[in-house]
Amino acid sequence: MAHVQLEEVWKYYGDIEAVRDLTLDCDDGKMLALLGPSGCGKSTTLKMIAGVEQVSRGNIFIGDRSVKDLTPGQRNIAMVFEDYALYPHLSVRENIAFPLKVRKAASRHIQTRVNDAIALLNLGDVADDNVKALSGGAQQRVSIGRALVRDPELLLFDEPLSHLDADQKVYLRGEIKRLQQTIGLTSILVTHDQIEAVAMSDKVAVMNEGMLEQVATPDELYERPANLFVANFIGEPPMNLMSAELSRKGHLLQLRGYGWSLLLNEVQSRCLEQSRGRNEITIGVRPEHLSVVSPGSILPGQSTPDGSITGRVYFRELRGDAEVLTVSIDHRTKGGVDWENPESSMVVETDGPSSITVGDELLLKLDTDRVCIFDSSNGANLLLPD
Amino acid sequence: MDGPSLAISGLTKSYGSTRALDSLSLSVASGEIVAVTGPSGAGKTTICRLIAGLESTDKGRIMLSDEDVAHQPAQFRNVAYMFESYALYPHFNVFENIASPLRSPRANKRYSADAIRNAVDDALALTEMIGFGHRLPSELSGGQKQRVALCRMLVQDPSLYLLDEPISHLDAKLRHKLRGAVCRRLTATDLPSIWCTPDAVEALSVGDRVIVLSGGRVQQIGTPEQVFLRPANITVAKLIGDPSMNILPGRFEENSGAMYFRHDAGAIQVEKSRAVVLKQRVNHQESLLGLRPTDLILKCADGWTGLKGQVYTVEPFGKYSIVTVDLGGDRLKVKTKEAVMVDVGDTVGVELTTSDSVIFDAQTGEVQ
Repeated sequence: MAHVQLEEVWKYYGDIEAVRDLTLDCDDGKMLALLGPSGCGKSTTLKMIAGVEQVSRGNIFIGDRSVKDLTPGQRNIAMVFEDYALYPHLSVRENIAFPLKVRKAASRHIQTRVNDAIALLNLGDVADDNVKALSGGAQQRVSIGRALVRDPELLLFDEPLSHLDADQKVYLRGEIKRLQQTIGLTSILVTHDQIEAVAMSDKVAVMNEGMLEQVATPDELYERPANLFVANFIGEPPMNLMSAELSRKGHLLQLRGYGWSLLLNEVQSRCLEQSRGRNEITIGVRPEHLSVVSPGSILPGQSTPDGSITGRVYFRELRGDAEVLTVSIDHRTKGGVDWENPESSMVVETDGPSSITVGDELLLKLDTDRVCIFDSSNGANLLLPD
Repeated sequence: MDGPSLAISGLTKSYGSTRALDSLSLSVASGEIVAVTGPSGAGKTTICRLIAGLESTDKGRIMLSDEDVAHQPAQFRNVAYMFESYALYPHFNVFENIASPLRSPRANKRYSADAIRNAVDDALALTEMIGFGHRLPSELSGGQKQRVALCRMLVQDPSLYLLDEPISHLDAKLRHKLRGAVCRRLTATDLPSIWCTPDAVEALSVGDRVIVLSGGRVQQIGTPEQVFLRPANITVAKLIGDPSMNILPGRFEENSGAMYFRHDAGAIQVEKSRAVVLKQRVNHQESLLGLRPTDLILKCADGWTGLKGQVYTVEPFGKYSIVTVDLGGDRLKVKTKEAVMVDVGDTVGVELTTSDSVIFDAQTGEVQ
């Protein structure tokens, strides 16, 4: 397998810039996901790597070789499609053998390669069945087998799980990841589903409007999103975002919003020192970084301690082992939620099932060390080095 | 509450030799949301179509408040039905589609033009569709069409709401918002609502009670907590949760006062609080132990005398990770919020941390 590199790649369709100045790496034997909303340029990027779209500017390397001017057939890339793209009249074995037969490989060689792929993908029981008779998940495994027999330098996955039922999706997600890791396939995955991207990939590139917003490991994306777009895009339920003002308190800095304040720690205060007085600030808090400290223990008129926020449960949902609470925090809405104003509520995730019910008054504690702080004007995460 | 209610008994429907729905009995109180979940072909849409009167019933009663409507034509039932297929009028724009039930000669009252505009605008705002009123359905994405169908249901003043996969084609963020916003609205009306979804976690989220269907039969009816904590059988257990419960075959045995569940890959110590049930099953042929992924933790294999296996996959999701452990063919999913320090192929021990595992009979699959 080989290392893949995109260098300042652009794609124009007439006046439209579909991909803008994209520089990306995928290490040998790793999986890189391209993730983003529809129209972000992820599929166009995949097509340029595959060679079915021309690169308008910039260069693409597979190994040490520039492939920009090579045809798809010259690139030694295999692709797994959303809709499997199998030959419906052929058996599992014939589908997998197809690319080798076309290349007129020796029949002994074909047999060995195909048998290996069948074993690797647990297709032994259905090897001679017609592919039409198989479930979607098994068909997708056949299509992965067909991609692997050619011994490609790079494997491209284009939304490979989006047509599958939930249980098959979970199963095949694990199988692809295992295969990719155990045989060290250099792979690029395109998906709109963040769960798939983070579960399967070593690194995730988040794209938006043709540009790269951030490329990082799944943990980094989640813990240290580069900007408001990534913060808002990654995570379910979504990160709570609230506008705040920055002021000095002793040798530290403090954030204040409507009905709450948060004294920052030393590291955070140092990072934000230059931003003081200049920027509009947005604070981001993941739903699981809010803890319910004392249901029903707040007296009217009592002031809320620093690092806490009070509210009333507007909606409670059990999500299996977790419970998600939508809490009205703007006391002007009297326990209701103004959907036009996201800052009138916060979303809290706790272990479930709990005994909390709609209407309960809660005191929520923010996990100071894990909040994200953004510049509201350009969206940049102010706690990250430039 | 004294609003309308729904009571169904013995509802049965076959298509040719296929029994789509087998003797369903169910009541939905006023202001209650009952979520219906199950895999495709379970009978969810059949329930909606029978209640709405779009299919004739083979057997059974459908009581809307005090009246059996099972043999009434659809137009007399006053049901607001959101179709999975949306069923938008292609020649009406978004506004006209949403307003259509209010302008219908069969609407249960006359609405002024202002009242219609207010109701439609309010629904468009809720579903983040402001500005789309003049578009035709052909100019909308799948998710936008779904929101129009949802709006058209929400503006009505019916006796009952039927929602067939109302939010399945929306992005995660909007789904999250609409679960809360739509549920609160439905609950506030004092009407009974039925919300169908193949997503079992969505059913737990939105239902005051949940019905799990499979093959046209009710597998369990209960509160979300009951269905999650004590699934009635392995069919339910395999459908509920993210990921769903692990089902491990093995036998119970007693050893120096402690109770163990023995699998070929090792034994798990189980609680003594359920000793009565367990005692009966000691030396029993085979049982199935239901283990929730969050109730398992990984242990260092060195010196571990319990259940052992090889790491099959590691999936990091940010706030938690899922590790699949292979036990010589049977696989266990372990869901943990701790940092995962294992690699594919490593040998690991697995420990059960709860006193609340669920036991199923191996023959019948029923909970014990």
